[in-house]
Amino acid sequence: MAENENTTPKHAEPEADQSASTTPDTQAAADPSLKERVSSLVSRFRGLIQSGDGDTGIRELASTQPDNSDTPAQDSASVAEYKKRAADIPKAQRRLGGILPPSVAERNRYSTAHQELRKEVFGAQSSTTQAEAPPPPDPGAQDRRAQQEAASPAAAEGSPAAAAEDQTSDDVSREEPSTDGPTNEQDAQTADKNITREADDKLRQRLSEKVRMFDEMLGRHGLKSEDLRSAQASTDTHTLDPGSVDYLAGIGTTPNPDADGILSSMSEDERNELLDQATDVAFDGLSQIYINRHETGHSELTLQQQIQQDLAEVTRRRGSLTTEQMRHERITIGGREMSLLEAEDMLHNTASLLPEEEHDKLNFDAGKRTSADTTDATQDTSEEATADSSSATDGGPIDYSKIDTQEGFMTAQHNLAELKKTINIHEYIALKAELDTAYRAWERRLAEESSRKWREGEQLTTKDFADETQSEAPRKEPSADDIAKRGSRARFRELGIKYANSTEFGGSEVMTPDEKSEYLGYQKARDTERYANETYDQTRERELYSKALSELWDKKRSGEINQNEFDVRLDRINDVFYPDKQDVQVTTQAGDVDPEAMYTKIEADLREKWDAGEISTDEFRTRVRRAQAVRDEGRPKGAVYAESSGGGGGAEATASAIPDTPEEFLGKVDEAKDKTPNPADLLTESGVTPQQLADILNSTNGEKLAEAMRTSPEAAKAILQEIQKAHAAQAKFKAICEENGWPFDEKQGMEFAFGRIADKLGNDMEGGDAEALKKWGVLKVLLIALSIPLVIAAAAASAELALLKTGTAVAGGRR
Amino acid sequence: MADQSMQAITTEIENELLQIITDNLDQEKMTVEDAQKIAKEFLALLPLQDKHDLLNKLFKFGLGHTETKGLYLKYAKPIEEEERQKKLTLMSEHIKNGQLEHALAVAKGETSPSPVIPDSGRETA
Repeated sequence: MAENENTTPKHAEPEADQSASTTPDTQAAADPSLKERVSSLVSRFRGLIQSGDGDTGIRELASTQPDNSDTPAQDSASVAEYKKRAADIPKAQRRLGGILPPSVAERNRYSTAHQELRKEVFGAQSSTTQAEAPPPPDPGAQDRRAQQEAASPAAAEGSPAAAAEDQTSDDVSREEPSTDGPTNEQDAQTADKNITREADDKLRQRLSEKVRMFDEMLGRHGLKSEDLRSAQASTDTHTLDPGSVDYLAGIGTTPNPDADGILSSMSEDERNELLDQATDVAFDGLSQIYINRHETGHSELTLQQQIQQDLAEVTRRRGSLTTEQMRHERITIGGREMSLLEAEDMLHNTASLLPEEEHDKLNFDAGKRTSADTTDATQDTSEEATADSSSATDGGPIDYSKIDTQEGFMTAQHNLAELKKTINIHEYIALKAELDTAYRAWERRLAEESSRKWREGEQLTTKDFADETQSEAPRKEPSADDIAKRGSRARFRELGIKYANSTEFGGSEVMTPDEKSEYLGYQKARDTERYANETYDQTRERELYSKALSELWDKKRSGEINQNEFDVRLDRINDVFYPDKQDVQVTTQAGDVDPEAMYTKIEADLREKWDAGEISTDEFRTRVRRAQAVRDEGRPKGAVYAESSGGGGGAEATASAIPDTPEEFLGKVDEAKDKTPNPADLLTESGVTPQQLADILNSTNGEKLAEAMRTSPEAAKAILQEIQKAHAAQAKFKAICEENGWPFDEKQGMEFAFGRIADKLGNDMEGGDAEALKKWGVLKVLLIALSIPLVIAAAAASAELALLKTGTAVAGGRR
Repeated sequence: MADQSMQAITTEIENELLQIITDNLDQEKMTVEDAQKIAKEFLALLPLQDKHDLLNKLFKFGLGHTETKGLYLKYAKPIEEEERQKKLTLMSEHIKNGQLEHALAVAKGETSPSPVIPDSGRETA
């Protein structure tokens, strides 16, 4: 763009030189027409600024005069009007910085608006198409192109994105300066052309940025795009074109020999990310080539019609070919030869860029063969081997709405994963999205149904939820004798309270092995239909609660327990009856709260949050389940704990839901999860002391960590390891601080570290995702600590400070 | 090699520069010729290779045209912050690799990337 200095203005302005030495005031006063012109300039520039076209204004200012003094007055007025009004047309695609890319829809809308305006201002004479009008020179085009080619990693041979850039750059570079004198029509066309060029520039930026990000991502894995290309070329089993979409899309599923180790060491998520990014980059490039070719091809068809026509041809050629066969079948679309598969994906991608109303008009079945056509060709395809998936490859939808069990969805998901090997990525993504949508809808229906049942007074037990959501094998219901032997529901409650106050949880009640066994038996039995259908005995419930509280008060009054112990155990008893007590007014007097009313209120609150999207379906279900359990039956501490912060419900979980000791906690882990490794072994292996574990569980959001540990033994193990690492790293950091004379408060440091870990992890790993631990390690915390001295350094070197120190503070700038 | 992201920033700066010019023209604090000169001189600065280059050029540009100094100030701060974040990322990498000493060196600026503050205005932290 530096050559702009040498650009000769097309229309030199006589007043410019004459007034160069005059002051603005005298200049304007001496020449009213100049003032008018300045006013016109200001008006035009403001329009450009508003639409984010400052660059156009700057270039215009530097090279030519915005108004043409040699243009007849009448024409000039029309041009000025056109320009003024054109500047007011919303230009969504030209958002500052090209942050959001221009879509075809936006460009179409913009172009249409200009066409209409042009007709209105210039009349019927304005019929010349954009493509026929030579555009003005873009002084920056060559520079920008050179920059892109030099900077873009995709400029390497074979990259589709690079091809797209080449294409769009070529389009721009083909625009030759006008050698004819300007006319108002040409001015209008110039303005439109500028718009198109501007959009192209933004698109190139976007593509380049995507390619850069893609290469950065490859780089993070120690890969280069060249590695993938060379490896792909050496893979005998694939004959993909280097640089084709298939080639890029294939890297996620066909690790090449050179990069095999790296790719295979990636997690599924990482590979998928790579795959998505690659296809995204590739398809955008191909689509842009297609669009550009259409726009410059003088076609009588609209883009939508062109896509429709090409789609029909691709569909016709596709017939009953398998995906693999489509990789090898060649077709020329938009003047570019490519595989049939690539063409199909590209056309679908391009179609997705159309305005909704135009997209909806497309007939994706056009060109499809009749069943008679395909009868013979359906026997040798691998896709058809997968029953559920065959309809997808044939373009027909899978009706996921007919699946009504979780098992069904899991099977569908499995089938889709298998199908992924044979269908193209866009088909897969579309089907996956469809499946996910159907699953979410199904989940919502279930929750609504369950909630409705509750509202209507139907008894719904935890088992109902489990059955409806997990498609578990039917549990064996205990016989009447079993129930009779186990005693009554009231007995279960009594034992539950005893269990909550037992020595096992720091209380004084001693439970015999038989009692504990009996209690645990009730726990299992409570989920049965028969048990749940027992009459709910509110009176008995209140008696038990009252009794428990009375005993507790007696112990406190007698000095048997201190205030602290009283508070803890009171919380614990309240938890047994009202784990969601924060949602209702729970007093220490028995009978003040009606469990039925309490449940209704909690359920309504949760539903409101769920509807508002504040909580997930899982969280909603879990918390409703908790409230439901309180309403139906006793809440021994173990059960309270097991569900206290489940589903991210830690916000209202109580401190008493967290066991008092690490061993106790890990014991609960063991109780909740049959597969949990020996808690003691876990603790020993990690090197974490019980106190250290207790520290972090008592920190902010410790409940969520505890829940994560409870949910997943792997998460428990990972958290213990992280705690150990945190202590080790913190110790090392402390030593470094001391060595450098930096202040370091160990207690605050540890609290900060643990608080950060707990907070972040609690937010990130609601499902007990051990992977989240790896992504957000405690080392991040150290990093934040390390940044403190850096902030000071950065402040000292801040731009403002530097300016002030050198005495070059702003003066006269009017921003 | 020019930074691709600089194009977006360049466009933004051009818009803001035109705003400055327009305001000054409107208030008759600048002649059309001055505006042309500023526009030409600015275009002569292009392309901006990277953010370091951007700040250097804006700084020098502001020295010649005081009304445009605000541009430098506007971009200096976020770019400084970005630079800081880069350092943090680099430190993170060192820390992940167990090289706390290297991370500290970055924090102290010993191995920091090229400074982004123009030499004439730079103070050592």
